[in-house]
Amino acid sequence: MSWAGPSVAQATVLVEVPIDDMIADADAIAVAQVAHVGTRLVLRQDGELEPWTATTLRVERWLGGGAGTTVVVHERGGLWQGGGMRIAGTPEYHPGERVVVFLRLDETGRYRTYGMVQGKFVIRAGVAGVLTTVERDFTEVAFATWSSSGMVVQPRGAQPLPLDLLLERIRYVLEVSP
Amino acid sequence: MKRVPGLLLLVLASVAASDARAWTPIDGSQPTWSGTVPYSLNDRGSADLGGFGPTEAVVREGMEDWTRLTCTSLTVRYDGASGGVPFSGGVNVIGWYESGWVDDPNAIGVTGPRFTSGGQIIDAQMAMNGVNFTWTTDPGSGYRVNAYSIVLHEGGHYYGLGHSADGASTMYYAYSGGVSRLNGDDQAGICALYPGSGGGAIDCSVSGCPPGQTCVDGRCVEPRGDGRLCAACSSDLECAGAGARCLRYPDGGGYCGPACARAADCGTGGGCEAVSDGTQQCVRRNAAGDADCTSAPEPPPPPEPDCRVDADCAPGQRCDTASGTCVPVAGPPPECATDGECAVGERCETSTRTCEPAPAGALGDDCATNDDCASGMCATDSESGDSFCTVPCAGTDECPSGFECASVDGVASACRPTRGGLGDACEGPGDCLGGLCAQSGGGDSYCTRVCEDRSSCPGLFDCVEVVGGATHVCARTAGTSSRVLYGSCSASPGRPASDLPVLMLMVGFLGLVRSSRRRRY
Repeated sequence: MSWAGPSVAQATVLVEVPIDDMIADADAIAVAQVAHVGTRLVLRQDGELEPWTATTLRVERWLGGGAGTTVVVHERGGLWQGGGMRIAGTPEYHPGERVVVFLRLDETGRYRTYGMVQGKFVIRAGVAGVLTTVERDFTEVAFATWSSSGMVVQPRGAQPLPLDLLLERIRYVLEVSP
Repeated sequence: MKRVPGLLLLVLASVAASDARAWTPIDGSQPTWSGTVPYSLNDRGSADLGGFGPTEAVVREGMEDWTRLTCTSLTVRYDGASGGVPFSGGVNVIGWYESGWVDDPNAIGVTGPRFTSGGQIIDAQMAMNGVNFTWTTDPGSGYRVNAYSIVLHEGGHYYGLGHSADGASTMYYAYSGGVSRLNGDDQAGICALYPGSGGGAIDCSVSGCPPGQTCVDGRCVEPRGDGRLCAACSSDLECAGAGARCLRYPDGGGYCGPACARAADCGTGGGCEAVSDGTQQCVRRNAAGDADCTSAPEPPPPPEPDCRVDADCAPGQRCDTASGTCVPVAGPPPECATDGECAVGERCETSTRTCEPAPAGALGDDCATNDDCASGMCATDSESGDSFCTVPCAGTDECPSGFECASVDGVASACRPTRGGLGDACEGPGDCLGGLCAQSGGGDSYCTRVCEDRSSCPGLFDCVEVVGGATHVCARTAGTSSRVLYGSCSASPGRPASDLPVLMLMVGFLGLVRSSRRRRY
């Protein structure tokens, strides 16, 4: 089958979503552990097969919205038979990974990660005496920003953030937001 | 291993060595186009930019500026207006979505070069978000997007460039106030992917080299030597492996030090240390703590056993004398990393690293991911939203009875059931591949099939014995019930009632009804 060989990589220019906006606008926010990552293939009307990834998260606690002990996050792109489609900017989940995720429902009623890679914070536990931090992977996206002189498109490094600080911010914004 | 403070390992100066590039290919296989790169523009252009004509001018400038760099042989061919839509049947087409943007609303542009495992780009598409952004040829302000800058950026991806791994660097360019320019790193990237005429004439001290090669005297060359820790060397060139360096040891000799991030990267014979130029390299030290590649590495001390007899262990544990460790009396669950380590009929569940029953999803069965299917392929029909286990096909003659090949214009695709598979909604037996339509107590109806035991039904189904019917069928585990109906005959389940749904099985003789499959993807 000729399809199985090619892979697709996409790259994306994003607008950064402020964390406060993400907190206020997310349909669900959870601390969770990645339980399973699987691929399904969407059979498009033009006959092409488009891989999607379904990630099952075991929810430790809901910080906003959501219900149940698990949630499935669907993302465009995935791997299949050595080929597939990889979309730069789409978060990749790995079994066993602990995350703080911001989710939004799409038009089909399925959860997707809010703002692509922006909505997935990997929890990095520190050794004794070292803060546990969260971090986002921005290596495959560029961000557009605007200044008085115009628009700028450039990559941006990820800055680790203390987990407690993020959780505290989430609590605060959810309390004050209408 | 003891470390001696103050001992400085010097990196031997290789001849004109340079790997200070920031650009990256879009994939590790460094895919590129072969020959002239084609592209076309959707015939509607961008509404914000004023339609096709003004859009065409911007797109061509952004795409073709890459070819104007003197160090590259990249050539493009503009094929004009196209009726194709990117990611929706179009090939090598650039287009604006004014509605129906399915990617994240914060994404301005998305480009997808499709490439083979052999590293050749076979086609590409570029989609621009006209739904959430206003496009302009001005510098851009607020959320008004400068079209040229996005096309130029996405053009780099179209040709095979990725982003910089260095988040602090400016990859591609910084666009500001209408002045944009491909910078030195952009030039290095595109010229490495598509070197100028004469192939190899490009100075790799500017362009960088492909992975696995080193730049010497401006030319990319394959390193000699195996680059193992402590292999003798006189320059980096003799140390193969990404980031491997030739290090000068106290005895005056040069020895290879592979790149590392942690001690585990260096095996048992070396540690991971920062050397004089700040890079992390594997270094071997002797028992005295001196860097030393000439003596045998210090063997690690044998681990002290946790236990020697069962009494050394906690209750419920015994001492495994072979390993000197306490293990549960019942023994640990079987661990695995791949399916091959599991018994026949089992697969390795990667999240728990344990062997579990293999998926039982047959062709046409409902599924959530490929893991649910014995064929390893779960497809979702974008039109109906149905998900079903399937196999690839190039024509309907490759599909089993009851399936058709969803293939368009020769595009390889998948066998699509003409009737419902296990779990698909149905109104009667005619909707189902197996001619069995079950109605649950909740009123939902779904296709089912005969089973022998639990292992022959997929994950969300149980194998229900139909008393009196001398048969079993796969039934959804959700919900509770007290009975199962087979055809028009009432029967009782042979399993605990709390596991079972109420089922009304409608079999083939009940006649044909229209198909109404309804799950969404």
